[in-house]
Amino acid sequence: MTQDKGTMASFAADDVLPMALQRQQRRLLILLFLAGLLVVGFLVSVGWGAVGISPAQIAAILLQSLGLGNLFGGDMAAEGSIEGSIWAFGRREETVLLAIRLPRAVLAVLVGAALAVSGAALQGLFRNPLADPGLIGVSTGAALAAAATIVLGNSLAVALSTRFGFELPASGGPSLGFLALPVAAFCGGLVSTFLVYRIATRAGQTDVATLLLAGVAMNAISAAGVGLLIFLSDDQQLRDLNFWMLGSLGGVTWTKIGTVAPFILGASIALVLFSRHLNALLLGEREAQHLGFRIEWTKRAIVLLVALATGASVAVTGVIGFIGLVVPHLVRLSLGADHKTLLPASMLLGASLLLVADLAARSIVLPAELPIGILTSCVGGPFFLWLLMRARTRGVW
Amino acid sequence: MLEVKNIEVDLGGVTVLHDLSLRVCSGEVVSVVGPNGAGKSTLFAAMSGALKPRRGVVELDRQALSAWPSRTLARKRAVLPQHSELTFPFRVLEVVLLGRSPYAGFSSHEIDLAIARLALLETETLHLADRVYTTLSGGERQRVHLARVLTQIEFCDLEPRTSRCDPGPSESDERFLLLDEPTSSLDPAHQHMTLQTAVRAAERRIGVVTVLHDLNLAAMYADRIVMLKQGRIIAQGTPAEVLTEALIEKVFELPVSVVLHPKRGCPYVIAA
Repeated sequence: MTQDKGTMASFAADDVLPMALQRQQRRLLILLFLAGLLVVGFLVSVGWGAVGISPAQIAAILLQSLGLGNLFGGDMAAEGSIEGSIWAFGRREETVLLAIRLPRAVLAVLVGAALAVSGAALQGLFRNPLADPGLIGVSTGAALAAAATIVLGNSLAVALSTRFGFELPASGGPSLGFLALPVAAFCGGLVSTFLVYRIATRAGQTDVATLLLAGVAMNAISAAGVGLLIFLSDDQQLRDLNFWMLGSLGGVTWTKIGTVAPFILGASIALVLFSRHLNALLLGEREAQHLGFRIEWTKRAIVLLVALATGASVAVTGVIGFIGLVVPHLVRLSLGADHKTLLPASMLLGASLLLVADLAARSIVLPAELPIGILTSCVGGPFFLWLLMRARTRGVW
Repeated sequence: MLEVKNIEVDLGGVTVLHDLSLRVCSGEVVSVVGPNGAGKSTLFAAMSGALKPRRGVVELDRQALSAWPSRTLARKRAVLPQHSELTFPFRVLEVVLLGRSPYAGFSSHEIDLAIARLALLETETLHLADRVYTTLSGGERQRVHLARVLTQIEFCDLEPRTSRCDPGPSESDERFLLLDEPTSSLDPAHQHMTLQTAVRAAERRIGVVTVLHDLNLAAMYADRIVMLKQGRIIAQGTPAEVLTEALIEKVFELPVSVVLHPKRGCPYVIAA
């Protein structure tokens, strides 16, 4: 036995270090590949449509709008300059890009990254690869709160104003103020996550079956609530509600993005900082504690960040299911479970996938637009079933 | 010194440990034995800090466990659980490197890797380093986790510590290894390997506490055996003092014969 150890030692000295380095390089390569995929997806998504815009035109328009049009030799980006130049663009391209396509693509990137990283973090936290912001009730809780704000918000505001006698802002716009919706969605997501989490956790152990069943129940309750709100709503509210339940990236403005981007970006990036904690949590809560992590604090922080990122996303796009479930799985298949790479890679892939899904949503049934939630669920549902069957036969995720 | 002072623990309204006290010094292997439901795992949970006793306190270096910063505590004591919940596709090397979590910011990737490699070597799992953890057998998983906890308390130092050459034990360098049934899913050869590792850890001034069901393993490798029944310490002392026919019959309600091991001279327990 001791001789064995001796020979193994010499063998290992040349082995473990290169092996680890090789894995690290592979991960870096895959991350770079995903980043490249995102850039390509972004350019295609922004350039594709009734008005085609080439990457060169995109670059020129962006440079000009940033006031850098003259950096590359004066007339390069000037409107209508050198006929036939690849850089040349017209007023139409500029408007379409800056007012419609670009905000939409930026939103897709933000929301896709947020949903994917939230899903990955929840799966780590629950030690359950089936946890998805949609399945455990974060998204539907957020949507219920948002729906309640849409339908009941105005009457509530009117009631409050007559009760306390303050002036409502001039009618026409939503009188509750623009922040009310994201805040409500965020709180709804937080409350439902916390409920599901508490129900499924006993004596520090989160039970997988209870978790999913509690999520199902929470989704049913939220659906009932939304159904009731639909019953109560008028025509305009019904249209708004429909948008929430199916999800869409349409009609986004830079103002909306500006409002939610800090929440989404902040929470997503903060989640990435928890990768070491999440790695340890995969061993079990007690083991993570023995490894020196403050578990209760960590769990609360992660749930809060997930609710923040998902709630803010749902607030602008409505419910987009399955991105948070599918993306981390795809990443794990190629990169393994280490959250240090899983989280950033999920963000990149989630952003790319949502860009592609949105591109499909607005190209398949021209000139109409398919709600994107329908598309992601069409792909995600069967994928989820496949995962279940695979888990049953192999006994592992 | 890891010291349990008069702890009382309630679980679900039942008092599981009654006014229990125990001392473990660095450099000794203490084995906790007892029948099912004796409170071994509860004592273990209290000693690791996972469970807060209703009364009494568990101290490390004369300071209550709860008063230690969690990362400092993690560098001083590591806990091997009976079962692990890990179901995600980590590589074995990654699992072992998790043991280096408390050193984040104090160590480099190269040092972490070198220490992890020595732990893999010690537990004979080096050939598994690049395997996916979820594809391993139960025994292999248990050895991988042993490697992880060895990595956590720097069982495998890269350089000999100066304090080890000092005549007296250095208080600040005390480390403890808590192993909860470390041999439960191992084949005989690896059961002995695991306990030999425990003995080597003790030689490096680490205090080892291990819950064992196999009295003969305890007899062979423990410096001291603590025998529990119904939440109380019935007996403690050297294997020869504790493993007597009368005591074992009383505690385990199993008639036995105790003979001397033909080669080692320690007691050997046979069911009568």
